[in-house]
Amino acid sequence: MTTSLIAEGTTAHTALAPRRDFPLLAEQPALRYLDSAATSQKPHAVLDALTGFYTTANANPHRGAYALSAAATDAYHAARATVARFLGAADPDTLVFTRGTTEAMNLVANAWGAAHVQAGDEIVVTALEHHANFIPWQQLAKRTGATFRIVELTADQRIDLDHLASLLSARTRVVAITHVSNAVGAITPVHDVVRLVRERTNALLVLDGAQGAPHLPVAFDSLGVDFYAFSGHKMLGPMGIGGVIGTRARWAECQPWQFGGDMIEWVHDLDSTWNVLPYRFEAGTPNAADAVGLAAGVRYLEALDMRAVRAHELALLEYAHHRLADVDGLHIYGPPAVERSGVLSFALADVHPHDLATILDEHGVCIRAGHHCAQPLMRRLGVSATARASLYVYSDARDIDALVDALLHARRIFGATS
Amino acid sequence: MADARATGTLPLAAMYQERILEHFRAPHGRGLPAHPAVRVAERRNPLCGDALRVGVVLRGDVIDAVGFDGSGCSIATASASMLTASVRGQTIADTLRLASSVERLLHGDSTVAAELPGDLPALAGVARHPQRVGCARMAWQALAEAIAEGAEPSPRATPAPAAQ
Repeated sequence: MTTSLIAEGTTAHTALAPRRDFPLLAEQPALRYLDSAATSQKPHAVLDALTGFYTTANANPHRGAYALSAAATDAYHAARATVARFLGAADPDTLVFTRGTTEAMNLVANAWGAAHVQAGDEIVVTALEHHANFIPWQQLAKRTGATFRIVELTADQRIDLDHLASLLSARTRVVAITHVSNAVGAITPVHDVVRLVRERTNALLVLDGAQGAPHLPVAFDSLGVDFYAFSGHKMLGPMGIGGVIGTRARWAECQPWQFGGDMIEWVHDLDSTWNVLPYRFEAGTPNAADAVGLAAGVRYLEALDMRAVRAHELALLEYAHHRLADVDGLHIYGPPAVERSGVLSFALADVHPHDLATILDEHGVCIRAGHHCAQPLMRRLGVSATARASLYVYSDARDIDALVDALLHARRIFGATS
Repeated sequence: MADARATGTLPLAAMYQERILEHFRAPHGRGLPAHPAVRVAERRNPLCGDALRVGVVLRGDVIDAVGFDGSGCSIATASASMLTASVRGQTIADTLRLASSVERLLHGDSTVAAELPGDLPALAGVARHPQRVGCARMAWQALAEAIAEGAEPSPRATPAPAAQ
């Protein structure tokens, strides 16, 4: 079997979180799940919290004057406080729940952007962005006549900070940047970005934390950005819940973007007034059950400690690099492991990523093959797709070993020569 | 478990037959026909970002020339290669009948395999991988679209409706 190539005392051999905590992984012991950047598996704690809400506290929050509705309201508020604390926001009411990062970015682009961006302004994004942090801004620019600018990348797919600096000016109205690239894992040096943006502009600074919040410690209050968006399902929580944290000052500049129940103060015949933050931006019955589930996932991560999560992924990433050196013709995209989240985005000789994913699937290895909702990046890489293996708290050396074996098999099938 | 599945005669080996891989490594019909009357249609796979174009030149109701370009996986490329090898010189009616037989094969109807020319029966293994059926269909859909395009006046090489 595989011999370990990493130093003793690291955590790469074993998972940080026991597989038995994750019912799907426990049920399928041979499954090698390497697609956590797409969505994470869910621990019992999250599933139990969902069942617990529906079996003990299910009522519509903020509405009934009866005890059960109060219990639902309390559970929802407690979930908000837990998630805000986890992301380093002292004021829970600055966290607005959404369906996920995509809805969060659309919220900011509409609630803030529509009122503050006009022709002549400039919106800056990067070539690393997920479509969810690209299209809302691209379309806002189209609607308003603002200029849409794209920060190019270094040869190893990091944001080119010099190019970013050169694009910033008094005309810059929005800077929207990913915290961690979903496609190649590059970690943005947030402090450098914040310093550049604040020195040179009064722009709104938005961070896409979909791949940041699950994998790195986040302290919103000291980060220096205006908005930070995240998705619950990538950080052990259920699908359909996520959110965006903003500063009070920036929230005050936002206009409601969805209208309906819960978000109003008073509805007159010809006009209406709005509820306070965060409800002003949460129209309709809130997704309380999934918020409660997400809070359980967050407590699970807190118990692991996010610094340990990062250390685990980095150690496993370095182990993967050692093992993947056995695979001729493999090219791994992105910066060195120390500047990357637990993402291995790669090409294997001339084998198409789609073929790789099918062959790996036969080995029980789940990876993503495709453009990763990052077509601007794919164009710059000169490919239509890459193969991506991604790690999380339950990943271990067996996952990497199976990946290597399956890649060697793919090479044999295709007789790759390069 | 994984080894037995991967090395036996199970779905993977059935799909990645040598005939498929040969077409992938050295495809027939690579390149659109250089002819002023070429009709071109493109299909995109929004899941993986692949795009294939098929071009045909008709002489009466016969396919005089056919070719493809673009990027695709082994299944998409092999299917396009087999397409060009099997429809050149055929009538439009026979070609559309063939396309519909291939479609049935890809959906698991192996009874049509016997009537398929050339290496096309090798595509039968794709039916066991539902997420790859779309790859094998791309060229055939583009071909049908390219043939239909000339039936009424329309601009050449309009992009396929990309399901984004």
